Formats: sequence, structure tokens, C-alpha cells
Amino acid sequence: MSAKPARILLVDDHILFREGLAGILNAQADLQVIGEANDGLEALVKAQELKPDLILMDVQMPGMDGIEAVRQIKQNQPEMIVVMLTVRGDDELLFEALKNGAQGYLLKEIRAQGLLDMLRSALQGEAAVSPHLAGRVLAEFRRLSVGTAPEKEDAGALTERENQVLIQAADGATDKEIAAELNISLNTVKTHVRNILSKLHVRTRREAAKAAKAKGLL
Amino acid sequence: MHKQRVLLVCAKHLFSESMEMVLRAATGVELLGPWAIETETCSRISEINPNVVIVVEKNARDEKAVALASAILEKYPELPVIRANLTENIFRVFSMHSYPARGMDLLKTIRRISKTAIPSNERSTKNND
Repeated sequence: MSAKPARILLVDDHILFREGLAGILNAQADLQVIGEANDGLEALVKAQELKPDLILMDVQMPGMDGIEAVRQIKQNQPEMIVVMLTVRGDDELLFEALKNGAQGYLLKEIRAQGLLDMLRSALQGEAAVSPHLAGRVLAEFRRLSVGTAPEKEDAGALTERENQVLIQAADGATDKEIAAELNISLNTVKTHVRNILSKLHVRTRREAAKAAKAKGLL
Repeated sequence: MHKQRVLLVCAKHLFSESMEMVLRAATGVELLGPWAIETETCSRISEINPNVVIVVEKNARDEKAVALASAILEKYPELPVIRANLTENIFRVFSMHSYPARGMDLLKTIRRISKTAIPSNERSTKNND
């Protein structure tokens, strides 16, 4: 006996398009359109009522759009697979949809066979993103990764004042001598020393001086 | 039963394939094409003699599709052209008809094709929107 077809909810305000798309999906033995909705709000209601395996959702619709609808659906039914299908490939909408929990983002310029393949992948738990959009997702991921890396490095980097304190400490100066030399209070010196030890992951001034030299900070 | 010969002219994408699905499933329609939106499309139409041409556009500003629809209307004035796109939830019907230049025919045509007049009080409300 063949497996039950995957149950799909179609959400799109373009009735003619939806009608044809339903025909394409229903012509597949493994897919079945079990409901249709005209906007995001209707999609919320039908998602609760029908509990489909997958929702194929337009982005721009009157009333509640697809971006907000996917957010609310994923909030109420986290296991729901939602794939966006839109004419617009703007980065902002793409990233917002993915952030809100969409498992895929496809452009309507896709061919029917491509769509069917993507939906089957999504039902297997894979991401369904139009190839050139996937490139943009990776680029954004890389950009964010590069953007956060220096931050991590910065966390271990010393401030200018901490460097000055460390240079003095490495020369064997006491806290009092450092305070006098840099014209700062003793407490401030102690705070700087604590921060230096913490940032360099060491316990003593001598270790700090050694670590700083090894890292080229001195 | 007489079938309407409908020529579908479109770029290959999901919307045109959806349209194709709707038309193939319809009784009383013989689907011709789909043909690509190209300059030669217009001259080839006479070979297949359709009753209607549907031009599926990428969007309402798809210049290539608009130019083709205009060329078809120009070359085959009696052949209705339907334009549809994904960005608007409507389709537009274009057709050109020739009538004898008599006052009676002109008035009959005006009555048939005129848009519904908006009452003057509603018109002023709309202007205030």
C-alpha cells in the first residue's frame, strides 16, 4: 500500500494562480491540497483546523501578510513546515521569513517540477530555498560570522590604559608606582589589573606579562 | 461540442504552468501552445487561428508582453487578448471591434461598453478621501 499523501494548505490571494497550483499539486500521487486560504489570518485559522503537513504561503497578501502569519503559526505549531512562495526576492523579506521559522523561500519564477522537488525536500526536513537566494543566505551568514569574529577577539583585547598598566607591571612596578606613573588612583590600577588577568586568562602579573608578550601585545 | 481554441503565450514559470493546468482541465477549451513571448509570435498566430490569446506577464509592467499584446491587437483586431500577471489579482480583456460609422451604432456601443457612472454625491466623497 502506498504512503498517505502529504497534506498541503495553500495560502495565496491570487485566486487564479492558487487554482492552477492546486491542480499541479493534486496531480501528484504523494501530495494533496487539503485547504486554501486567501490571507495570513485565514491561514492561521485553517492551520489550526486542518493541521496540514506543509503550508505553502505567499508573502504579500492583504491584511495579515505571510511573514507575520508564519511567525504566529510557528509560535502556536512549532512543528509545522511552512514554505514561502513569492514574486519578491528582497533580502529583507527572505531573512525575516527564515527568522520567523519558514523552512523554505521560493520564487514564483520557479518551474513546477522545481517546486515539487523543493516541497518534497521540505517535507523530509530539508531547507527549500531557490538556488540564487540560497547564495544570498550563505553570504549573509558569512557576513554575520565575520561581523561577530572581531567582537570575540575584542573581548580578549586590552584597552589602551590596560596596556599601559601591563607594560608597567611587566617592568616590575607596584600598583602604587603604576598609579603615580599614570596619574590614576590605586583602586583604578587594581581594577585594570583584575581586568587584564581576566582577559588574558591568567592568575598573576608575571603570567600576564608572559601571555601579553606571546600575543604580541607588548 | 465546439471548443474555444485558446493560445497561451507566456514565459516558462509557475504562474504560466498554473494557467496551463486550469485551461487543460477546462471543458470546452482546446489549449494551443504555450508559446514564448517573442516578436515572431505575432506573425505565427494566423497559422493556428485561435479564438482567444492569453498573454501571461511577469508583472503589470512587463514591457515585452505588453508590446506583444498590442502588436496582436493591431494585426488581428477581431482577436481578443487576455492579459494576466501575478502581481494583480485580475486579468484584463482587450478586444477591438469595427462598426459602421453610424450614429445609431455609436450610441449602442457607448451603452454597451460604458463603465457604470458614479453618482455625483459619491464622487464628491471619493474626492475627499
